[in-house]
Amino acid sequence: MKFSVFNYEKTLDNNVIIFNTLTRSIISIERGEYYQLKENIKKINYHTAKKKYKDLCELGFIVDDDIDEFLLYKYWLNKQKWQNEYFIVTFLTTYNCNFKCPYCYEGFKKEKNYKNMELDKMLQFLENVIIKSRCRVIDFNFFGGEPLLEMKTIEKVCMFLCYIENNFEIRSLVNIVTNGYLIDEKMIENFKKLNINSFQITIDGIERCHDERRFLHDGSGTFKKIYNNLLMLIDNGFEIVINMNFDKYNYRSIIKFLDIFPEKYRNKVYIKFNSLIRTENNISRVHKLKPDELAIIYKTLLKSLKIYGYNKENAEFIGYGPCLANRKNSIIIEPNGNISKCIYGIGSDKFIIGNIKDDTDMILLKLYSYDEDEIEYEERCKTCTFLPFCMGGCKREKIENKYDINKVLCKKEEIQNGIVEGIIQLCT
Amino acid sequence: MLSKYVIKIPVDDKETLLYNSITNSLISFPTSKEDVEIFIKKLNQEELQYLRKELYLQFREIDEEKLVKMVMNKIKYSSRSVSFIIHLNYNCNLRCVYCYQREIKSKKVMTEETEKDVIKFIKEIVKKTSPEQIELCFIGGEPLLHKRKIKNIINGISNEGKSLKIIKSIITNGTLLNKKTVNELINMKIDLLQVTLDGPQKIHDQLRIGMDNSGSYNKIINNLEAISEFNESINIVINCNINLLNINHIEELFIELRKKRINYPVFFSIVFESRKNSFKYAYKNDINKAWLNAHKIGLKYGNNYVPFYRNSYFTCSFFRDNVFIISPDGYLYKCISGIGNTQYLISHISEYGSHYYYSRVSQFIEKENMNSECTDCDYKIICGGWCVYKKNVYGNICPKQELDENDIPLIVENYKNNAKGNK
Repeated sequence: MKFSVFNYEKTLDNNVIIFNTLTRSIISIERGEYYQLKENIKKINYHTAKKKYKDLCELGFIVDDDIDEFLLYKYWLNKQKWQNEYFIVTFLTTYNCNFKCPYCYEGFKKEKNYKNMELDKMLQFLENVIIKSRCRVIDFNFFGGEPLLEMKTIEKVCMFLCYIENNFEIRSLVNIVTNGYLIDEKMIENFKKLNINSFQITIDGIERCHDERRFLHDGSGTFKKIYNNLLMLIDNGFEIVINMNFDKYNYRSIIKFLDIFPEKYRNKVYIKFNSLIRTENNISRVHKLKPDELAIIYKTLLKSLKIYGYNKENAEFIGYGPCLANRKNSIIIEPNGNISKCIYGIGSDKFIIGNIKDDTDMILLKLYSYDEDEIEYEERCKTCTFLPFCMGGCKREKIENKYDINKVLCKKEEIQNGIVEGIIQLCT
Repeated sequence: MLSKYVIKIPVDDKETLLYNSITNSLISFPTSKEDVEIFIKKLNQEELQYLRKELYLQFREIDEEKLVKMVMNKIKYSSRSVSFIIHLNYNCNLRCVYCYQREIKSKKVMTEETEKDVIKFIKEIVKKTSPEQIELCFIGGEPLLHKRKIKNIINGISNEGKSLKIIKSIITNGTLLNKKTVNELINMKIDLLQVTLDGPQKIHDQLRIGMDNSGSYNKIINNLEAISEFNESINIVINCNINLLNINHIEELFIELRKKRINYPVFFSIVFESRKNSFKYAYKNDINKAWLNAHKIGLKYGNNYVPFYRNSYFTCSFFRDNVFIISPDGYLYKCISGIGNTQYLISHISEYGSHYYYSRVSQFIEKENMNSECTDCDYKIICGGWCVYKKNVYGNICPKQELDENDIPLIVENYKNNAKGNK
């Protein structure tokens, strides 16, 4: 046997912590025992390992000698890219928004004279595509702009999802990504009727900081209302993800929020930290973080989750596996009916693969052929511990920075110092 | 411009076949091979649309390299249909001289416990991947020595998924297909039996020998005759293993079958040399035109052959995540010819889903099987880099010449044969 190349080791007091970047498992071994194992590992065969080192085997920390883990990584990645149990739909209900966040990557100077597609046509298209994909679950996400501005649309889509479940035995998981401002008790009752499962709400710190970054068109703050709505949603049993967009100016306020958030709710929510995305729409309004700055902030944020007693499971959601663009059974539908692959590239035709009016078979062909560019991994990548996080780098980022999409965009240091070290902080 | 994966095959100087290697569809153009592109340019929109539908053609809307990669990856990971090739045993009532399992000394038989493991395994896969259909193929040794096991496994999984289609087939030497057994198989709703006949009696009996050194031909023919005569509702195909001994006697087999009014479809396989195989009539690397010639005779006697049905990336188990080959002792292998050979061993079925299983299966499915010469090859999707088992025996080989001399002309012959029949 041999140790997996995806093992990240860290010595902590008298123990060695190993985090495996592929399986996301973490284990702690007494130092002496670990170094002894390291010396003898070559002599151990699979059957011995299975008995004596069951956990190390099952969690992927040790593998058979002849395993080329680069092939294992590719298999792991491709299985997820091609999975068709879930068909993921991100539906931009509208570009309109009641907020005017300066950092919004969708830009609030967008043309408003695009023609909205007919909802019925979209639903017909969806029905065709979903059935042809042979999925078992629709992972449906209302997005925008602010989707709650279009409740009628949401209602109609939810009825459609009900129809799909009754006629084709394909169930749905329904999520709404919202700024959370427009929610009230009546709406919550409606959400229950419509079988909405979860919400993702953005909070950028405690009141003062949040209100500087997320405000209405007239500039007034939004924190108080959102916070109350958030607690109401949790009390009503919805699954909640709190999305927190950070840069170097608000991360401390984010940590303060984690501190003031009621303890009884801390294991009822998932926290997602998102470094502000810079696109051509917001590039002048978003400060570019240096890689090492980003890493330290991210690690600090993850550490705070541990300090304030948030769920360790938050670690599972950190960039696991391919993004939506790289998953075959995932589409983004824009208000004009265009079908896109990249959520941060919406509006840009570089990521558009067609329109709901197109022939279904052709759309599926284009959908499945998207991202068949083969990344030319360098030799050093094939044994890199951080490959399962890197996966060659973000295609959109490469395009925007005029980088070759077939080459690896290496972010080893950020991944190690920000993500991996942060996860270890959270989980130990 | 036509896509690269559409292969132009000339019938004569007035007719060309266009074969779409992705969808396996064929269309005839009333023009010479050189003039195909000119002909397409002259088509109107409606005709182009028709072509698009018929041949699933697309004209450069999707980057072709991406399309080809996509198709090859979809075959690897798609779980619309999952296949289980279940070896019930290695023991057999015959001792065929070329049997690739001769090297396996220990003639294991699947235990009851392994039967249960297999049922559990199949159920787990069905639950996990929700396929539209599963294929169960029972093989041995001679699987009909253990009919009870076939019954147990089929019964064990028959309740899985109301809308799940289960296709059941058995590969058998045919000697045990007496009336009683055939009835049992019909009750089990077996969809297909594959029976081997290697030529007319005098040839077949030199190759497929019984335990007492007798032949097996008469027994098999009598069984097939009875099944045919009583019009039993079970599908049968005949398989003929082509080798240097029988290649010039194929027609005699068809004549004998016709005499006995045995009209089942006849397919072929090639017996090629494996490293330890000491069968002197095995083909070595070069099969010359044996494949084409054997099938031409099959065509003459009313058969129809799907292009590349035996040898293609589409049908091979090695690169597919959804094909499971199980040995009698419950181990998973990635190649039928390599059953029992540790080079093709993944893990025990009870280890399916473990990290160990994934680490092992990934070594096969993600294996780099093509080289730089393959990039521009017309047969890329069909070949996929070619059979790993054969390459392990012969070293790196390119099948281009073999395909050019056998499978491609066979497409034309098959087409002409159908055209004759379709009046």
